[in-house]
Amino acid sequence: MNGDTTTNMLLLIIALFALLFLMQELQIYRIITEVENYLGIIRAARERALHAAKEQVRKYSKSLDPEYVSRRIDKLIETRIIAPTSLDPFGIVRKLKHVLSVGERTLESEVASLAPAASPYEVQNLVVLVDIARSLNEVYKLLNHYYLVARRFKSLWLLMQLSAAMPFIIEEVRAVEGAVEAFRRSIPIGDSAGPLVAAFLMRKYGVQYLVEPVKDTIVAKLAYSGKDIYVVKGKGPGGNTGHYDDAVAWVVQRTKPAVIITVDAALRYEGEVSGEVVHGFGVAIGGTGVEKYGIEEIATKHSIPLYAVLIKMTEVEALSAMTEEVYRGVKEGVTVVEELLASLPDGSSAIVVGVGNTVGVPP
Amino acid sequence: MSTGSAPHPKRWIPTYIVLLASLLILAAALALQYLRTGSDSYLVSAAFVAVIAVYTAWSFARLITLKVTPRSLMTLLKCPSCGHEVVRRYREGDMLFSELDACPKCGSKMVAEGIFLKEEKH
Repeated sequence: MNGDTTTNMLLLIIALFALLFLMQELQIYRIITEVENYLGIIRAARERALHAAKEQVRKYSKSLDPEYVSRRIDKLIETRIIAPTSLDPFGIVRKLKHVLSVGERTLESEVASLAPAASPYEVQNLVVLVDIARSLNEVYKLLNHYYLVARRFKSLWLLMQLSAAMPFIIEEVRAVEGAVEAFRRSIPIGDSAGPLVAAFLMRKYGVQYLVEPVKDTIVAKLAYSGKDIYVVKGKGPGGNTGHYDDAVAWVVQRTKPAVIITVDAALRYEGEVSGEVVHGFGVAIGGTGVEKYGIEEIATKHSIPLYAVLIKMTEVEALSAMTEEVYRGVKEGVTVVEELLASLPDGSSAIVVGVGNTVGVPP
Repeated sequence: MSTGSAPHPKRWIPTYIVLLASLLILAAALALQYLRTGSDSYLVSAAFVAVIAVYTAWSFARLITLKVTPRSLMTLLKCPSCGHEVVRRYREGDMLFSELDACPKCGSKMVAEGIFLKEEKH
């Protein structure tokens, strides 16, 4: 082996190692750029949601200083709900319910004080707008934190995990952002499918009486011949979901229902059709699980069968203005509930719960 | 009302056309140079540019076949007297179950039975 060949071999090995190192650096740089782009989209979504919330609140803020209103909303979107400890899980649902209701009440009173000219239902829509900005702010801050940590330590694996999760997070961010316009205009969103079914039943059969036994939740007794049918839904047309467990408990104290039917939006899988209506058994309520637990407790205690009517839609459809397909699903959902009620024996009673955000759906 | 805030992907069509035309011209010029001089480096360069042009053309084809269906916010009005239904564009202030326009058939006030996003037909 002569000297030239040895030098060439050494140079080749050095070049190979340099190339390996360079390739990894390039890959890190490429993923950083990709994650930065996604973060830019999320940041822009947060800014748009925050701007929309501030603009809407200012519309009703009368003589309040716009700068003060803006600063207060900036503070509100930084508030956090701290879940109770699960070290001793006994009674955790009750504790969670308490924490959530305190957070809900405080946010509502804060927003109401910033928008004195807004009606109660407009306040509810403003609360949801602030809540949307708050959740987007939380998502952005969390992802930005992981991104900065990954960048600081030049961790390829952390960056790759972030990059892999980003398309799904972006989809959710777009879904949440889609809700801004609907709440600004107070029109039904996909998630309003359950309350809309309830509202259609109330309009079709007429209402004997309508009460609000629980804050923001109405119970209507339908003028249904031969059966006592109680419809429970969020009050509306402001954006709220109501407190179904307490309302169901109120009805059960007065009558023994033969069945509790929950009507809710359900996530559809790829390949399924939006607006498709399916049956289920159990309580169809998403979210924290507090109300689901409450209704399950009541139903189990009194041996009441639990039926569910689910209207399928994507996450984006659930949070954006209602689509025509979902609307058709609502109409079909009304028919399905009617069939279930018709199958009950005469003289029996039933509770129909329209689960979901009741924005744009009046009682 | 649009269904999302994402910019329309077809805004990239002019960029693709310019890029594809430039690549094709460059590939043709390099191929011509190869025919004139017989130098292999021109042939390699022309092949390299042609591969990029094919990739760009493939991406372009995917973009122009992309189907984006715009949706408009509509209000479904139903006459409580004669049952006549009308679907018209949503107007600011439309509220579900409120009495809005007059029925074109019987003149009664029509009620908003639904507000939803509907696909635009061309």
